[in-house]
Amino acid sequence: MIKGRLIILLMFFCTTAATTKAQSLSGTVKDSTGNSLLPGVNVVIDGIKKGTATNKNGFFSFRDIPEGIYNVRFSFIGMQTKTKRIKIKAGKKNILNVYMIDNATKLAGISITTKRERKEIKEVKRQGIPVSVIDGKELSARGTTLQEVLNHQTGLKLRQTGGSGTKTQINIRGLEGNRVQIYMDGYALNTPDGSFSVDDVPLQFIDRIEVYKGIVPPEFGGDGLGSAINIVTIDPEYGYYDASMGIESYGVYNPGFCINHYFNKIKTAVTFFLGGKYAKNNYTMDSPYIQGLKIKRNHDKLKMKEFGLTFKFRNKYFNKSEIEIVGYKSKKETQGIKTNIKYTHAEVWTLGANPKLEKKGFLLPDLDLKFSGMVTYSHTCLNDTSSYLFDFYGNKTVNTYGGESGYVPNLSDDGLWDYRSDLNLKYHLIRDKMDININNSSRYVVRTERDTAADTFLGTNYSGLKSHILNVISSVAVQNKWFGGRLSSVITGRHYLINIGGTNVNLAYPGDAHPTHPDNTGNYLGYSLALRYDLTESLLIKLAAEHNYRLPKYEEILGDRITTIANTELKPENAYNLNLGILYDKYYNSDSRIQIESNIYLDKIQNMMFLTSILCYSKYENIGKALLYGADAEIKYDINKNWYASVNGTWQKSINYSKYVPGTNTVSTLYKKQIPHIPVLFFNWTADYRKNNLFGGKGQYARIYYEGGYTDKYYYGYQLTNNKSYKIPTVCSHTLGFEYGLKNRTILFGAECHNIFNAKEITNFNYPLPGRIFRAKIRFTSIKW
Amino acid sequence: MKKNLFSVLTAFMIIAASVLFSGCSDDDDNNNSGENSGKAKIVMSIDMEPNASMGYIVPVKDINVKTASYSNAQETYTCPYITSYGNWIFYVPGSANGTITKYTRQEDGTLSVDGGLTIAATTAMCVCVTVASETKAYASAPLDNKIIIFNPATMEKTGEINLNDTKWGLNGTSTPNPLGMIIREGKLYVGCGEFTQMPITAPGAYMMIIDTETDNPEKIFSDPRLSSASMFNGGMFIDENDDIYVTCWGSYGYSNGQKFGLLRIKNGETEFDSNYCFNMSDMTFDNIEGGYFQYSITNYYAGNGNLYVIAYCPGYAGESPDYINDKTNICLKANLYNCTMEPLAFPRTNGYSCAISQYGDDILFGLTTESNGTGIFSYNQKTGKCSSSPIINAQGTIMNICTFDN
Repeated sequence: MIKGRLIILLMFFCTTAATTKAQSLSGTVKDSTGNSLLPGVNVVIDGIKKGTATNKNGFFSFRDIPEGIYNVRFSFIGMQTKTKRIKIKAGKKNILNVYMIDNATKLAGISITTKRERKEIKEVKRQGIPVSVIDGKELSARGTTLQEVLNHQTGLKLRQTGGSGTKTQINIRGLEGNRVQIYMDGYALNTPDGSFSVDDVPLQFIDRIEVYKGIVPPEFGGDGLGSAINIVTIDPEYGYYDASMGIESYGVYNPGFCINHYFNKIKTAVTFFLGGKYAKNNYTMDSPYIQGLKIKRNHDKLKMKEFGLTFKFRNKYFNKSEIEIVGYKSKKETQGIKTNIKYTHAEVWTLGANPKLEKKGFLLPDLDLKFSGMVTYSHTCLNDTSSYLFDFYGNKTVNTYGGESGYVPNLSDDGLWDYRSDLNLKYHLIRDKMDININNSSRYVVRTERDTAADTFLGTNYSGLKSHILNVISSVAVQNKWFGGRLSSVITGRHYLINIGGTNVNLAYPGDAHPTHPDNTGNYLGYSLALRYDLTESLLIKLAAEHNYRLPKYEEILGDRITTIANTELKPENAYNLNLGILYDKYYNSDSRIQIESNIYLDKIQNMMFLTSILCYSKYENIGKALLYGADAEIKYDINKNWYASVNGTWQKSINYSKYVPGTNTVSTLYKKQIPHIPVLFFNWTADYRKNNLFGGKGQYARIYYEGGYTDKYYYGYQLTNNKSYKIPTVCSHTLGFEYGLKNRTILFGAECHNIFNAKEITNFNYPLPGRIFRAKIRFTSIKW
Repeated sequence: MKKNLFSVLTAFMIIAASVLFSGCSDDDDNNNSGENSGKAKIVMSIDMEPNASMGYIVPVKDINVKTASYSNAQETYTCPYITSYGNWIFYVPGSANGTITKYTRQEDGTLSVDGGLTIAATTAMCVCVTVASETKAYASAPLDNKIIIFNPATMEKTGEINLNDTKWGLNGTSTPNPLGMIIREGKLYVGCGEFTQMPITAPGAYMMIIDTETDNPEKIFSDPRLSSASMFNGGMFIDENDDIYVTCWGSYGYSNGQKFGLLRIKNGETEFDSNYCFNMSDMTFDNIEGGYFQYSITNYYAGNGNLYVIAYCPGYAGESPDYINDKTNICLKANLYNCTMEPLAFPRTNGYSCAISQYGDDILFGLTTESNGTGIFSYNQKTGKCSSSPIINAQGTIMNICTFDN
């Protein structure tokens, strides 16, 4: 009986399909960004074995398709095969528009605030490690700062002590300071004297910012405890100009100019960049030390100039060969908060050269070479010789010890040579399946210290002593793809070498200071494994584990001769990191996409370096263990062509994991308690509206955006008491801004108001920030994205 | 696909919920246990470095409390010093800040905050508070070179003694750097650092006398035998004979030739007693590494010539000073009049340790020992026995201990 019904049913369908032949199917195929029509895509209707390919406009069509329900398959090299089910109706022209996702997008990582992902960003996101990517295009006209941009990322907080140019700590997943490595184009950015900060990078020349959380890719040769920021600058291959001027509240001006020209006769492209910053930072704040006192910050000026001159040689052998000459000069005043510092300031200048070579197929067809070198000389002068000390009421007193900010007068004349090289060899063992990456990163720093003012005051003569520190980090990484690319793995082994030598003196013992000659070498091994698996077209998981080291910095191991004592026995900090992430990335159409990502992590850190102090002197020591864990999540939603919204949240715990009171076997009451002065919970959210030719006309672009941020209170000390007055209060701030582009974005104007409700903002205990800030920027450029 | 989306959203919601519910709660419940709920008879100031750049003032009910609870503690900057007067406790911030704060002991075991006063504004350093009466007190600002006069009841400034004068400085300088203070018979005795470099003082011990009626400086005098006269509260004391004893800390031993120990200003005198000098620098000991001490900054006089001292022994220090792992400090008992000194049977403690006080027959020491615990140890004057472990466990470096009879 049943069998009979099935036969009748089947006959009915067959009859229906056979009776009509006038219907057609057509449509277009675009990439997932909706930006490009895809030609050459194979389109096959399963069941009737009809096939065709899209034309140069991404268009396809079929005629005379029998009425019925069919699976239509779209396939193209490098793209994910897509199957659509469609019901062909009798006598109708059926339309089917399809968006294909390339493999890169399928593996896509995290965060950009646009649907139009560029190839470079997709490649970064292909990695199996947790990474957020900020598209520089979104920053091109914003009158904002890099710090502000970073502050809205998942798992990341910047903690500042004041206005523009003041000391800023980048906190990623509870780690900050030297534990977070900053790279520029893959090379460690931070100058040894710390004079150059991320905010000195001109925003308009940033291609993208990659924020690595927990694990750092093997091709980055630096050390660190697993978190890093890589700022990638733009690299256009054609002649261009760019001029901009930024201005913001409290007397901050930020001009920049760049020109690039290709000289055919010498087959060389020359780029010249000149930029700078002038900041008064003259905001008024409540004194955290004296109740009722308002302090007008009047000794916080920054003057900074920088230039870059790049020669790119068109070379038949190398894919890229260039040399960049860079210079940097700054003068930064020191703002007093506890006391009124009126004269102390620091002046720094740096000059250096930076050659780069890249070659695909170096010596062997499957071997790629990347080499970068750097030689810089930095000169630092700390000028702290005031004869008087001042309060905020106009009174002064004779200075007992000759320094305003320190207990010793300083007029330093320190010189520092910094030599670096970074060599990366990538061998494609099985192309597109298995690569071997060998990296060697070396850094040799020689510092000569001279300070006649300090010497005179101390009655010593130790100026001119030289000491050096050598760091060599070598790594081998094997990158594999398995199961047709669904699973990718990167396994890395690293070797760290540190050597300290030269002559050093601790002036902590004025009556008994003798130069010493440290000669210590240390060797350490680290490793990491990163896995990514595509569960479905839209869903993937990431798993990464790493054991890494952060080598002590120069000032940590050799001190400053005067108040920070050398500790040549200082060991590197090391960490075991584990990260599990999940990502859902779904395109609904060319204008609508949702991305949801969540990560959980666990980091265990040992030999943490702490600055210990006694009797006016300090010293770095390895005394801490910490356990960091947390979760973060982010949702990004491209609602339609014009609207975009996102929200992210981070919860991070930083636990003191030192079981015993340092130097004893007594169990510490601080064991397993939250480490002070690290944010625990924060959220960010964004709404963005963009439209071309909003007010009519042509080639115009408009964008209005709103960003909000909430950071829950956190404490300056351990939470041992009910009287917790030392805390960083909860802050909720709102930023509103707009950008407008004319003549296809060759003229750009941007303005924004940060913290529009002027909420009291503190990110470091006792360092109030300016509050509401207005920013504006105008830019003329011929750079195209 | 919908199932996948649902799974992802569910996972996300779980994480978000856990974030919301666990992230907003504080780390500890900090309940005030019954053991710590009565009026504090012991108040400690504790430095939390290197774990945190801050300190606490911790009230403890009495000596029977086994472990100090921080639930009623008040937060301070690093290296907090305290001194007491009746129910009042004054937080003296040292080099961490220039503002003093007054707390009052409460019956429920808490400390109420009863006002503050900025003592030093140009250098943010205040090292000593000396109370003359319920309405008059002095606070020294060494680098402002001032002594602020204030009403301790209201915490209002009532005057200042400006010492910025070449009359009081050495070699034409006007920076005498007032440090520790003590009052005897209407005169304020002020130890002067005469710093050449922080924390190195000029050789010799310098003492200024100020009339507490007129608040005018009267004279400055010195003694070359020891150096660096007094520092914080407790840097000077008066014995049963009304003689003042001045702790000289010899620039922490950083300056060759400067010696530490005690000098005396006899009752009725306004000069150092040339017949007395307890020179601890030149003493030798068979039973300690290296045989000598480098400096002592703190001591406590318990009467009958019994003086208790914590001193730094360089023989236990590494090549480069390690204030955490090196157990360099040793507790000693001295005879004030015979100028003799012997180590007590306490384990050695780290370089930060400096607190000594008295509770009944017990002399209390704040120690951080390698394997015997951290907190308050006791020496019983009657039995002569030292506790082998803390009688009150406490975390951090105890800077000062104030004790109260009721």
